[in-house]
Amino acid sequence: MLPPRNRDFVFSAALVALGVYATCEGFAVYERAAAPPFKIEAMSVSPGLFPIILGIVLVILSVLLLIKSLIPEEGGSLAPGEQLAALAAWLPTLFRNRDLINMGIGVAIMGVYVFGLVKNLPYWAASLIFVLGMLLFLRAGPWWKVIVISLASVGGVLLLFQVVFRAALP
Amino acid sequence: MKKFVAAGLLAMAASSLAFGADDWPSKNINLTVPYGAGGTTDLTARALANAMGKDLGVTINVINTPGAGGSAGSLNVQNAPVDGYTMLANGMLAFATMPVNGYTEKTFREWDVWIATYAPNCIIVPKDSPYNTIQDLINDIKKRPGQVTAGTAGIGSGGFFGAETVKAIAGANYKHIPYAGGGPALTGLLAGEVDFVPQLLAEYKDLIIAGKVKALAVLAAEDITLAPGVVVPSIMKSYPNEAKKFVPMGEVTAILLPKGLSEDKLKKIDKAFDVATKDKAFLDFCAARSFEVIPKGRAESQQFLEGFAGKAVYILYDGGAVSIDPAKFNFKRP
Amino acid sequence: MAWQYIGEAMGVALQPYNLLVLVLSTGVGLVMGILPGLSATMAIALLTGITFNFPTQSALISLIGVYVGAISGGCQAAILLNIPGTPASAATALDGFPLARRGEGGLAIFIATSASCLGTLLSVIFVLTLTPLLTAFALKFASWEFFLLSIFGILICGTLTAQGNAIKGWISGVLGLLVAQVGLDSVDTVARFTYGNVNLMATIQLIPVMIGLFGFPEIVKAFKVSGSEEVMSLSKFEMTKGLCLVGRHILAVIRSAFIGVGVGIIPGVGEDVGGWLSYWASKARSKLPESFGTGNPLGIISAETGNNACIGGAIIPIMSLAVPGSAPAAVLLAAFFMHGYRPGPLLLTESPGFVYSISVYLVLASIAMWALALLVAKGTVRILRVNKKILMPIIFMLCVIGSYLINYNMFDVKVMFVFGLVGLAMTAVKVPAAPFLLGVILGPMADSNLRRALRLYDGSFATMFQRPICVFFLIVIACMILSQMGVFRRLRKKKAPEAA
Repeated sequence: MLPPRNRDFVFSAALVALGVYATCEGFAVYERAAAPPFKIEAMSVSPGLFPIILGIVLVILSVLLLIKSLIPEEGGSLAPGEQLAALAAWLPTLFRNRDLINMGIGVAIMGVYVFGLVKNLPYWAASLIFVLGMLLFLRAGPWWKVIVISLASVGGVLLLFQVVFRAALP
Repeated sequence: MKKFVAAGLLAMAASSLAFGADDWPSKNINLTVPYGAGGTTDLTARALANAMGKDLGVTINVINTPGAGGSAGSLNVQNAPVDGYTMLANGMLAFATMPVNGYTEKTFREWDVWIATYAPNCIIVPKDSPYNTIQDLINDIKKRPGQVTAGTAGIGSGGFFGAETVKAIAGANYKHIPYAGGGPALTGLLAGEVDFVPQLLAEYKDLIIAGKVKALAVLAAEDITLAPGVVVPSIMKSYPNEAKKFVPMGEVTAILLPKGLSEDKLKKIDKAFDVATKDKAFLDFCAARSFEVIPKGRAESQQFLEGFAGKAVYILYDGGAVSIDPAKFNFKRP
Repeated sequence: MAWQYIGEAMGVALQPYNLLVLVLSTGVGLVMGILPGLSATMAIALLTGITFNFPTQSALISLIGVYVGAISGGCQAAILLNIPGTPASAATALDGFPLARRGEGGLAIFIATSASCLGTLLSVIFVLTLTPLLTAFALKFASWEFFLLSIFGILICGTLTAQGNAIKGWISGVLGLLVAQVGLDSVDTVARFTYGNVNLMATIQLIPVMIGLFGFPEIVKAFKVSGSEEVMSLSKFEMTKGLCLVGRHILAVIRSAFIGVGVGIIPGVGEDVGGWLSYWASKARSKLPESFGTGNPLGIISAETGNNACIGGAIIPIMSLAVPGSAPAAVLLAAFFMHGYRPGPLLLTESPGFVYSISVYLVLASIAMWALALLVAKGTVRILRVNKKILMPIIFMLCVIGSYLINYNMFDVKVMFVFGLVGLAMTAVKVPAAPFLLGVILGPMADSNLRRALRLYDGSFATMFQRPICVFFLIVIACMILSQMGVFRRLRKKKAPEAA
C-alpha cells in the first residue's frame, strides 16, 4: 500500500480542507444565529463559536502534520510534486490488490444489508440473507455448515432480543 | 450438528410466535421522554408508564431522547408511524410552544393528549444569597436590568417560563443562563454561578426543606407547605396584580400521541390512563414530589390547552423570546 | 449504628431470592457489557422497567447488579476483539488486545476482572466515608472547570493513544468534537451542520459511532484473503500470576480508584473518562511509558479500576444532591425515585439505612461479578478459537441491532456504517479512534460550558485564570502540549552539556 508518508500527506491535505470547511460553516451558523428569530449577535456567545474554533485548530494541526510528512527523515519523504506522482502511480494498483478488493466487497455487502435489505424485508429474512451471503463470500466453511450457523445465529439473536429482552427489532 | 439445526429451527419458531397476536398492544410500547433521565418529566413518565403498562398488559419502555429543549424527542414521535407503539411524554409548556419556536408547523390540536400532572415553578436562591424575599430579587432586577442571572433548563423549559414571568412582573430583563437540564441548573446554583433558579418546585423540594437553598416564592395561587414549618409563599402575596395574569404557572406533564390512531385503540389508552392516575403507587409518588394530579381525558385536555398554550406562547412573544406571531397558528390571547 | 444497618442489608441481600436476583442481573449486565452496542445505560434502563414491580430491595439489588456487570463486562470484548463493549472499556483495549494476541487473553481477562472488582470495592469505601467532603469538591466545578476538564480529557487521550505522534491523536479528538457539534445546539437550539435532516438535528448518537469506529476495522480485517486464518491460542487464566500482578501494582489500583471516584462524582463525566484518566496517570508515573499499549498489564489494571471506581463516584452525588454523576447513574436515580426513596440532603434523615444498603449491594455485586465474569470468560475466551470469518458477520449483525436499539431508529444504523468507513480510513493512516470517541462524548459539554461561561462573564476569559481548579488544568494542559513538542527534552539536553 501507499507508504506512510504519502498517506499522511493525503490525509492531512484532506483534513486541511475539512478544517476550512468547518470554519466557513461555523461562520454561516454565526450569521444564521445573528438573524431573527435568534438574534444572537455577539460572537462570544454564538453557537458558531466552537465550530469556528475547532475548524481553525483542525487547520493548524493538519498543516503541522502536512509539514511533518514533507520533512526529510528516515522512511523517506517526497516533495509535494513527487507525492502526487506517487499517488497517481499507486491508484491503479488498488484494483489489483486482492486484499483490498475483498475488503471492498465485504463492506459493500454490509452496506447492502444496512441500506437495502433491512428496510425492505422483515428483519429475520434480511439478517439471514446477509449472514448466509457473507459466510459464503468469505468461504468460511462447507455449505451445510454455513447454513446451520446462519440459522442458529439469526435464531439465537431473535430469541435473545425479542423474547428475553422484549425489545422490538426493525 | 443436528443440535444446531434443531436449536435454530426452534428459535425461529419461537420468534414467529411473537409476531402472531392480533389485538393491540401486542408488543412493548416505547414512551419517548425528550429530556435526560431523572428530571420531572422523566419521573412522571416512568410512574405513568408503569401503571398504564400494567393495565394494558405490556411493558412501556421509557426512552430518553434529550436535545433542543425537548423538541428532538417530540419530533421523533411526530415523524414516527402512528401505530400506538410510539408515544410521547412531554411538558405542555415546552410542547405547546414548539410552533412559535419554529420547530414544527403542527400544533397540539393535531395530537391526542392526556394531561396528568401539574408542578408549579418555585424561585430559589443560594442559601447565602443577599436576597431574602421575592421583592428583594425583583427590586434588584429593576435596579440592574440584564445583570441578574437566572439558571434554567433552556429556552422552552418550565424554568424559562418562570423566569419570563418574573421578568414580566419586574418590568425589566434578567440575564438568561441556559443549562442542559434542571439538575445542572441546580448544581450551577449550588456552585454559586447564577443568582436565582426559577425551575419547578418538584426538582428541589428536599433541598429547600433541608435548608440548602432559600425559596423566595412559588408561582402557584396559594402558599405551599412542604413540611411542618417550611412554607413557601405564593407570589400572589407580594404582587397580586402583576402576577394575576400568569399564576398558576408551572409545567403540566402529559402523554401524547399524534392523531390518527383508531378509536378502539384510543379507548384502551383512555382506560389505561384513567386506571393509572388513580393507582395508589402513582398517587403516592406524586404526593412525595409535590406534583398535583390533574387527570384530563382527550377532549378536556384540548380545551385546557387552548387556554394554557395561549398563555404560554404569548409570554414568549410579548417577552421577545420568539418572533413568530402566535396568531399565525390561531393561538388566542388569554 | 452503622453496623446495624449493614447487618440488616446483608440479611436482606443474602436471602435466596435476592441472591438469585443478584446473580441473574449481574450476569445480564455482563452480557450486555460484553456485546458491543449495548451499553450500561441501556441495560439499567431495560431492567428498571422489568423490575419495577419487584419488592423494592430486590429491584435495587438487580439494578446495582446490572450496573456493575455492564461496566465490568466491556473489558472482555475489548480484550478479545479489540472492540470495546461499552465506551468505558476503550482504554482497556489498548493493552488488553495485544496481550490476547500474545496468547495471554485469559490472563488479561483475569486481571481486568479483578481490577474491576477492586475498583468497585474501593469506591464503596469512599461512598461510606467521604460523601460530604467529595460533594463539596464536586460543587466547586462550574462552567469554566467543565470546559477545561473536557479539553484536558481529550488531550490526554490523544497523547496516550497516538504512539508518539500526539498531533494525530489531537486531530482525532478535534474531529470527534466537530462531530458532536452536528445537530440542534443545546444552548440556543440553532441548527448546526444539519442540512435540513430531522435525524441529524437530534445530534449523532454516541454508540453507533463507537461501534462503527472500533468495529469496522476489526470486522473488515477478517475479509483479507491473505493469511488471516490465524487463530489465537486459547489461554488459561493463570490466577496466581494474575493475583501477583495485581498485588504488585496495588498502589496503582488505589490511585486509579481515587481518580475514578473523583471523575464519577463530577456530574456529566463518567466511566469512560475515568478509565482514560487512570490509564494516563499510571503511564505518566511509569518508568517504562513506551511499554503501555503493547500489552502492559498495568495499563489494563489502571483502566479497569478507574472505570469501575466511577460507579461509586457517580452514586455519591445521587445520595447527597439527587444529581447523577454519570449517564447510567441518571437512570439509577430515576429508579430510586420510582421506588419511593428521596435521594438528596434529606436521605439520611428519611431513609438512613439506604446508603448502607446500596453499599452492601455494591460489594456483593462486585464479588458476584468477579465470579460470573470468570465463568463467562471460560466461554468467551473460546471466541478466540473461532474462525474470524465466521465470527465477524455475526458480530456485524449484533452491531446493527445495538445501533438500532438506542432509539429504535434505522438512521442510527446508517450512522454506524458511515463512521465505520471513517474508522477504516483512520486505521489506514494510523490515527487513533479513541480520542475521536471521547470528542463525541465530551463535545456537548465542552461547547455548552464554554459558551455559558462566556455569557456569564460577558465574553471575558479573565475569570478562567482566577479560579484555582481552572489554573491547575491550564498548567497541566500547557505542560502536556509543550512536552509533546519536545520542549522539555531540549531543555534537559541543554542542561546536560552544561553540567558536563
